[in-house]
Amino acid sequence: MIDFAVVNLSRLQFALTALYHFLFVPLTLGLSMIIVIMEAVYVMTGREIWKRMTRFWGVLFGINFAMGVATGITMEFQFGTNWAYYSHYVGDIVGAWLAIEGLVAFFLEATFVGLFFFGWERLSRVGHLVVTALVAFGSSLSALLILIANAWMQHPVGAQFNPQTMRMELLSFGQVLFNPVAQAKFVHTVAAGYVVGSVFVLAVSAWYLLRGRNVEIAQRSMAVAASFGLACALSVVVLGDESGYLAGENQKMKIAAIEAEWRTEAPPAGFTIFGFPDVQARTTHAQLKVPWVLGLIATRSVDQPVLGILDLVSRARVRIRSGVEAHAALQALRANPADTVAQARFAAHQGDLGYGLLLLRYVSDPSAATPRQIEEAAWSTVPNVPVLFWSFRVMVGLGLFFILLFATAFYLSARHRFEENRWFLRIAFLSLPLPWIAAELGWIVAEYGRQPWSVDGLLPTFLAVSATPATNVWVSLIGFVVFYSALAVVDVYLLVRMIRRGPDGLGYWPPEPRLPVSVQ
Amino acid sequence: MNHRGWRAALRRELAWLMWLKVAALALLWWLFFSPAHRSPVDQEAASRRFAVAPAALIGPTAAPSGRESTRD
Repeated sequence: MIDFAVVNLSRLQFALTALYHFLFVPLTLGLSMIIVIMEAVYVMTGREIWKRMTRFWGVLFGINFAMGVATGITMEFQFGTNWAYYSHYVGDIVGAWLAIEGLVAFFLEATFVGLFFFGWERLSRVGHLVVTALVAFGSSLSALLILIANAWMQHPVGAQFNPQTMRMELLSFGQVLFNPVAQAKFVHTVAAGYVVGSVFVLAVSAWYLLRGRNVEIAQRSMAVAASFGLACALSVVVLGDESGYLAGENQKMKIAAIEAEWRTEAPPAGFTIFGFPDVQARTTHAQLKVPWVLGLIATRSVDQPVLGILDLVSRARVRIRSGVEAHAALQALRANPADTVAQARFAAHQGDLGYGLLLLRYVSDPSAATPRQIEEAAWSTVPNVPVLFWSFRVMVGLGLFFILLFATAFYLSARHRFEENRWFLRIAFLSLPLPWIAAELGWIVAEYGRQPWSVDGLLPTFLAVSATPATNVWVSLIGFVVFYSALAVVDVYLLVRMIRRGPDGLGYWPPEPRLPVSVQ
Repeated sequence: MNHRGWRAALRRELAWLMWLKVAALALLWWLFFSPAHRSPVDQEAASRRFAVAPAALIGPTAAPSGRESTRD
């Protein structure tokens, strides 16, 4: 029997550690590219101030990079400790990308990050710039490889189930690599990371200008952040739209839940700007809609419908019945792999096996499921509508705010008017936490919206967890909370200390070794 | 500067750090990864999890049937 305490605790643990890890990832992505820009200006102009800027923001990047590495490794451990059945079922596909990420991207950035810090006096200007660019490239490559694995969980392609080994097996490396969801996710996520980095530089520089400190460096940093941030904030919206379109193609239930669209509208569907989704009544109160917009975003057409939740539940009901057939055929195939009737029956229904497995939450033999249990299983395919509805809207609202923020910063930068507009500096400084909120909400939409699936349409989440006692998960969860809280304190302390010291207080880097009293 | 002195101090600090790291890793292994904590997952365990019958004796069989999963 499945222990649902283990299921819930494992989900909570993965969610907490993933959300915590993603506090560091986008800043690493963003800062790595910003220091490449700054160092490129240094190499082109030879002006020492750009080198000092690169080194200062590089130190903040380094602190963040170390935290990102430490918190990322533990997530991969969880696939073994808490998600053993997931690892067995899809390890052939997902595991390959995680291994490539470690061996190629992480080794690349880990090697060159050392040269970045310790190679200033040992490499030529151009040589050091190449090193910095390789660190940024390694960070982006790392993101790409992880997102290919994640995108496969959203839209599994290039693989098929083997009834003998009871696992998914890779058919086409190319299809997984060029999964359109992976490509859209990658550019959207990386662009969001660049926005996080830009807001970070903008906010810290604003803090310096408000205090009249490090003015020369702060003004130049704000100019870089404003122009780079504006381009990236605009890109995030455009690339997010592509993600929305692909979700409309491949994860219709996620789109319906994000929009709280209970019933299918006549095309083109309107976009709900505001409303109160009511799960019990299966309606959205006080809706404020903009005509056509959802239809255009989700289908790129004016004549295609965006299916509502009720229609999608009806489809799920049909697929669950087909999945029961697949499950029965799988039973027969396990007993006699040469049974050609069972092979044909399995081939006809295999695509719905995952839907049949949803019934295992309610009944031990899917063939014995009652209509009521099938109905419950069909409704279990609906994710948490209010959470998705609000998370998406706050994320989009923040995305539009960043465009306004960077456009204003760009205008003031072009006119050299930052210091005259202290109101803007205060807004820029207070905006510091906002891109992280937007990025975390984006992941909540992507991952919470995938529920009840661990791999969309193939593997229900509750079947993916390990057969481990709940106590084990409790102990590791508490350990993570304590350890990560301590790491957060250390991280904030180090960042605040370096920012307070500023580029002038950076001193020699790397610092001279502390001398023992006896030799001083 | 006395290079020998600070090099020795650095070596001592690194040795301590390495020892602490190994100890922490050993503790983590003992808490979460030692044999007592392993839950072996193979095709039989997966069969039980998915409520299908155990496999017949594995012999030459037809190629796995199936197609890519279809989406909604």
